[in-house]
Amino acid sequence: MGDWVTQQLPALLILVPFTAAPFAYLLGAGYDRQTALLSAALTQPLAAFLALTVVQEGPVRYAIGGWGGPLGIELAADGFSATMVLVTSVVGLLVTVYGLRYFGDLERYRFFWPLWLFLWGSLNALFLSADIFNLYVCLELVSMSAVALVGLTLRREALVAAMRYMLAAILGSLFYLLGVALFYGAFGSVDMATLRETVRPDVAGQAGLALMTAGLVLKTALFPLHFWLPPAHSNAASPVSAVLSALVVKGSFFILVRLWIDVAQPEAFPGASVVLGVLGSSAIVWGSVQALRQERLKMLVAYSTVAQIGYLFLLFPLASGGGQAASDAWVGGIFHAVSHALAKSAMFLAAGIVLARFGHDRLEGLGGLSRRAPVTAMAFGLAGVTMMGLPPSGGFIAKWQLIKASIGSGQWWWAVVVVAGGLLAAAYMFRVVGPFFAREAEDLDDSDLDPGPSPVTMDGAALALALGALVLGVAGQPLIDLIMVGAPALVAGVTP
Amino acid sequence: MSWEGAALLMAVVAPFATAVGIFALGEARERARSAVNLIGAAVTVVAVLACATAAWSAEPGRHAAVGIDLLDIGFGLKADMLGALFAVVAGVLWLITTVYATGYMSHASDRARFFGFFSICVGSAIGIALSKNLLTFFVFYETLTLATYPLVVHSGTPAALRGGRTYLMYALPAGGALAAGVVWLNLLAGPVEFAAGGSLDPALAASHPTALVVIFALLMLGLGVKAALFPVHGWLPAAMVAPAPVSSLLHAVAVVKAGVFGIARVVLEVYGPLGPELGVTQLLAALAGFTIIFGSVRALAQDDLKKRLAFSTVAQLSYITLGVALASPIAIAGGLAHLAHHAAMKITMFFTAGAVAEEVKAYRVSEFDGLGRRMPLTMAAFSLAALGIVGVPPVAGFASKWLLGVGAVDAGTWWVIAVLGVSSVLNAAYFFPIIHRAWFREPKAEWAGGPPTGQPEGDLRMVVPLVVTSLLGLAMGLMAGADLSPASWASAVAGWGLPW
Amino acid sequence: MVSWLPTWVALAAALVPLAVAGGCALPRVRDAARRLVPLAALPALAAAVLVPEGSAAIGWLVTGVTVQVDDTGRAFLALSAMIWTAAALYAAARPVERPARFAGWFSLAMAGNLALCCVSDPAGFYTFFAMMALSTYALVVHEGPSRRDAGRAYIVFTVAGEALLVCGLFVAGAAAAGIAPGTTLAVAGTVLVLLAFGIKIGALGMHGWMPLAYRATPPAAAAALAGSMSTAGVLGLLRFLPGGDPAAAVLSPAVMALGLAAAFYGAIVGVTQTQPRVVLAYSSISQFGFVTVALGVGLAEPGVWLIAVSAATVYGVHHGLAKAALFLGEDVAARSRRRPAALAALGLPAFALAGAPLTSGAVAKIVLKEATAVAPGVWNDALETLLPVAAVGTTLLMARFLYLVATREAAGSQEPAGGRDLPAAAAWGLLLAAVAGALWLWPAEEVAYAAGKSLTAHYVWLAAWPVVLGTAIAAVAWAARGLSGRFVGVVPPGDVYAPVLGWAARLTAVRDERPYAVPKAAAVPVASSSTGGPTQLDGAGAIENGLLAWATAISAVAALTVLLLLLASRV
Repeated sequence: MGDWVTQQLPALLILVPFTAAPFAYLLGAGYDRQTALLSAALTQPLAAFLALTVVQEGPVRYAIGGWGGPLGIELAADGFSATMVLVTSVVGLLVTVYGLRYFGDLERYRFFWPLWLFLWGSLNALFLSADIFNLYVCLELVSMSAVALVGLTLRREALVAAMRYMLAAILGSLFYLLGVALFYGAFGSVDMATLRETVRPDVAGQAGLALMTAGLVLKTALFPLHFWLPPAHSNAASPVSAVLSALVVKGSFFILVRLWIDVAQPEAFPGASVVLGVLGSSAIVWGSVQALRQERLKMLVAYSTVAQIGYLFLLFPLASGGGQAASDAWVGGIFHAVSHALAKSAMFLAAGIVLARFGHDRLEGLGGLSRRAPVTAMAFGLAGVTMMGLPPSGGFIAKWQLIKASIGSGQWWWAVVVVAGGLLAAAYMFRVVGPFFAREAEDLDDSDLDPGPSPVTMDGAALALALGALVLGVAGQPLIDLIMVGAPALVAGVTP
Repeated sequence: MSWEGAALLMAVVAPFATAVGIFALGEARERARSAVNLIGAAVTVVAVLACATAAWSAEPGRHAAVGIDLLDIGFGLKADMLGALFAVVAGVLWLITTVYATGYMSHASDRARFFGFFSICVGSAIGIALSKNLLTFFVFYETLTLATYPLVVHSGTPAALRGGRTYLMYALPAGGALAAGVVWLNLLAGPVEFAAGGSLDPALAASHPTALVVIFALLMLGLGVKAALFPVHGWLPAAMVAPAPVSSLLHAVAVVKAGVFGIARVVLEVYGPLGPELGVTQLLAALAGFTIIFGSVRALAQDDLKKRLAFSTVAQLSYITLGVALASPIAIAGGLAHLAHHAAMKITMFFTAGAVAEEVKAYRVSEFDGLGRRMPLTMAAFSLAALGIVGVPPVAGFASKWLLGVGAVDAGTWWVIAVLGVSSVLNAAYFFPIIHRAWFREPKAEWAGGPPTGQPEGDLRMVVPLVVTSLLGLAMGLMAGADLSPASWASAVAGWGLPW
Repeated sequence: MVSWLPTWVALAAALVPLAVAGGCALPRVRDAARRLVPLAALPALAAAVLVPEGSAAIGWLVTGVTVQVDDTGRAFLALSAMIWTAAALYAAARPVERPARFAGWFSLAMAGNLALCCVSDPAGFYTFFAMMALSTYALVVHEGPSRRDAGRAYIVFTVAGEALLVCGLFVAGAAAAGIAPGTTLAVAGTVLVLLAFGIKIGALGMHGWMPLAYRATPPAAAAALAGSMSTAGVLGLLRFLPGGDPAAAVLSPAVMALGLAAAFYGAIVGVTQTQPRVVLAYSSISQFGFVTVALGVGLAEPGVWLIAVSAATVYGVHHGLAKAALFLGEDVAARSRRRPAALAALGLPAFALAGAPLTSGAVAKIVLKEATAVAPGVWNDALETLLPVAAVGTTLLMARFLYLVATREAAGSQEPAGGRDLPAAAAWGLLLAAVAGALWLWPAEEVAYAAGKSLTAHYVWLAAWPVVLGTAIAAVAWAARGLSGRFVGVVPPGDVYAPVLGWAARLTAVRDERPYAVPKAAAVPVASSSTGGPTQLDGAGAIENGLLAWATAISAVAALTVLLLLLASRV
């Protein structure tokens, strides 16, 4: 592949979905699905090739239209970006495949495809942006399309949830924008590479960082700011829920990591990183406890997301010390983001199948699922393994790294949180999986709504994602190498 | 890749592949499924035997090994004498159990699910046996934890679900403790390989004594649950709601032995001399000694046969732990030999429990009066195995008990001899009544005439395997001194030539 | 000829009954097999006579077995073979229900008993000893539910014995493996061995099973049990007591005292019994007391161990043959229509046991005296005076036994005559011949010497007076039976052990336990299955609802921002 194309890769990754989106809208029913599928198919090699290039030749920078910053728009792809783009495209493809049959050509759902492609494009753009203002723009695009997707079903709860989600998103963006403004005023640039050199822990800098952080934390739904997530994620159509939980929340987290680990050095804000860690731990416990008291499958899964997000935030206190522990934490945090993306989307897709087949997702109504829908049950169970962080699974590698980091950096208490979180996850996972094997009176066998086995593409997509999460557990080394490419100085210690 | 390497991979991969095949074939295609299952088991047996050959042929210190890399610690397999012993036991008994299970499950539902997860469990057990370092071990260990759950709850009754829950209550926290211990140890000592005589640097004992003790405690907590050490033994009797093949292979061999095997690996091949130096193995031995007595006492009153067997297992597993924890190669040999001996005898007894339940619907010891007339072969096999557990020569149990006792003298720990003596009496006290009822009490009217005329006493797919395993147990004991017998094998592992 | 071959042949010969037992288990050949039982012990008998000295190790067998043929083993092998053959012949002549089953267990016990005479290593001996002891249980309870108590008594003591024995043998085994156990462990091991075999020979305090089992077991099996299998305990002591080990000397006085006590206790309790076989049981307790005394002397100092060994061997053989003959004779007399003749014949073993002149007893007592004569210090005189007194007790026991047999009809417990009397009598006759001849034909020269000595006037007198005195006392007691009758039956058979056995019964009784209790933890909502629902976590639910409220959310955002600001500006 020529050097020129290599240069274009980031741009292409954004352009393909963005161009596909309007076509999907215009062609309308009948062709929109094909368009989406085509775009999804095109994105795969691009993402894979980007990752390959990054691994082989290190981080990539690309100035749109050839003008570099500070004025022009620049794109940058290091290991972290490439990883997120890659996981986005994988999850995106399978969700698309799943959606083909899930939505069918129901008129009501025709807006799904353009919105989804638009969201996809904005996510790629977000992961590839090189300056904090573009990040803001992408964040907005992502939020808006996401909100629209939540409201897609037009069901009342969905609309309420969407509204709640939108307000939260706007509030978050506002805070973030304020921070950006402060930074620009103080340091005269929005380009992260430049900021890395110029940013100072003075009042403006700290205020800016604080504001941006608050906004992003809100958008990432970190405890106690998760108020918008459970309703939004549980009431959206299942493929949408999958995308939201797997990718969208990771978007704002991506920016947070960029700001903290890359631009501003956390050791300048030791207290703050501890606060994030504490909130993360609380999220793990609180989200799990809430998951334990849910009666609907999708609510439970949504709260599981609240809990799993918590692990991501352990990255900040663990990395603040630098050294080997920091790079362990870096790998652990990002690895968790990836494996959670795969597993959680698998769970929502499986939940979607259950809803479609049996017309409800009440937990007490799921007895004997492993008999009625073995593949679906299997997909959900395997995804659960990653949630619990048990080997062999990506979740295990992530937790392994986090525990290593916490013991290695002498902050063993985070390790306790990680282990405890795994146990809590096991508790709510088996609350779901246990009854799959049951033979109770309220077995699914009594439900007559069942239209029969779900299409193989849907089951297949869910199972593929779950298996993907498992494969990460036994063959994760390439991903780890990718993640470490161009890692920020703080965490670029020794490659684990 | 060397042929040893191929054998190693095959031994671990074959069961998992079998599982995939079974899941793929699904519930409907029974014949194909059974065929895949049997072939997979057979291939596995060949592979583990090849691994054993590799281990035996390797000159001391060098073992056939193959590795795949993951993270900074190599994910690796190796066949050494100790691992091969467990792998062969698990593999061979799996083949036998498969035959038994096809008979036992012939009227059950969800068989694809059952046999699939069953294969996964065996694969994990073999992986545990052949792991070359602590991380690999841990990965397979947790896989085993999970794959067992669907089997425990298989029947789907509330009782089964409760049993499964209890099992998880113990197993998952244990996994957490184990994880913490493993990570910590890796940070402290770098990649923890298994090496005869202990892989930890003796200097560590001086520099981090407390850390090492805590880590040991964490590891033992994690492994102790599967090894059913007091006080974390409670799940085992509760897990007896599982179908007989599960109780037989998993709760008498694969799962529980995975725990004691792990303890053996940690005590002998990780801590090595550091164990006694830190004083932790002595504590472990004391705990095991107590568990032996405790389990036997609890077994006394059980009327439900499978529960009685379960508590007996609790006690017997600690024989292995005890032997491993004693500072004498002879005792170690005894403990490790019991790994195989107990497997052969206890699997026979669980097979019997299942066969009797299926054939004459008798589940309680009090229902066994005169059963010897109705199912002579079955009960003969059971009695033989029971005598073995009690330690009556020449059945296998005696050989391991003998090595343990002599080893106790060697280690100068008189209390171990007392424990062995008391437990022999207790074992007799909970097994002889069963034998007495089966052979020396008057049977019910419909049993008095013996098996229904012209028919075998039960489904031959169940009777033959249990007779075979009981004869295995007899052979292991009768020829304990022969080369390649588990006892000699274990002695070779313990680095101690048999005195006879 | 290869050196190890003959010893292997001996073991193989001893294990012939095992094949017979196997045959009895197979439905097809069962009836043919049980006819072979009387022949099963003959190869062993031949081996005992023909096989030369020697020993060989069989490494692969169990945990390694050492086959050994030496004078001691040979003597016990011959004894056992003779008794088992006679017993088997007798059994074949008497009706018994489920004969094949009886024959099978009978041969299994026979195999164990014969084989243990051919091995000298701890594990090997234990193996065959266990085979013998456990299969005997089936013989004890063979006559059905009525025998269950005796069976329980037997199995409880046997299991305890096996456990003690294996623990004691661990020490011996370690020594065999070249490990030197500390003095404490060595002595402890010796004590365990003493206790274990003590149970077998009904040593005082460990005798509770003997009267019950002897009474319950069918006659032929009882003869084998009393004559041969109990005597195997003596062989065990000879093989595994560390004779000549100074460390064990501390035990010597205790052992001698125990033996002496047993000799008297057996006699005193025995005479109060009302059933012939129970009397014989107490007689065994008393007789093995004599053997115990000899062994105690042997332990005292290294030099005298060998003397003790030969004494114990000779006395064991003498007692075994006589006791077996008494058991068979008791049954013959009970069934025979010509009881006086039977009684007369019974007199021979009875007098032999009492040690009357010209009987094997007289010879055995002399050999025993050789040993006790070298007892240390005061013990020498004590034994010198007390043993003859105990012999008086033996005479009384025999008198009591004969009296009970003779008056059984009066007691109205005439058992139905059955089977073929002539072969039965013949079998018994063989045994009587052995009793009469054994010690006179014994090749060993110390026995021949003793035999010669027993014919000298001095020793005739020494042997005669206790018998005369005993008979006199018996006559007086009979004359005054109004008075002496008060003592009859005051001690129940198996005397002090009723509580122990009751406890054992309770221990192993199944109780309908409720299913294994799920630990409290399981009640936590965590696992409250699909049906459980959120009830337990309402508190958390309320808080969560608060968090989901906008007001909380906004203020939380604000609070977080401020917090971060503060933290940041502290730098």
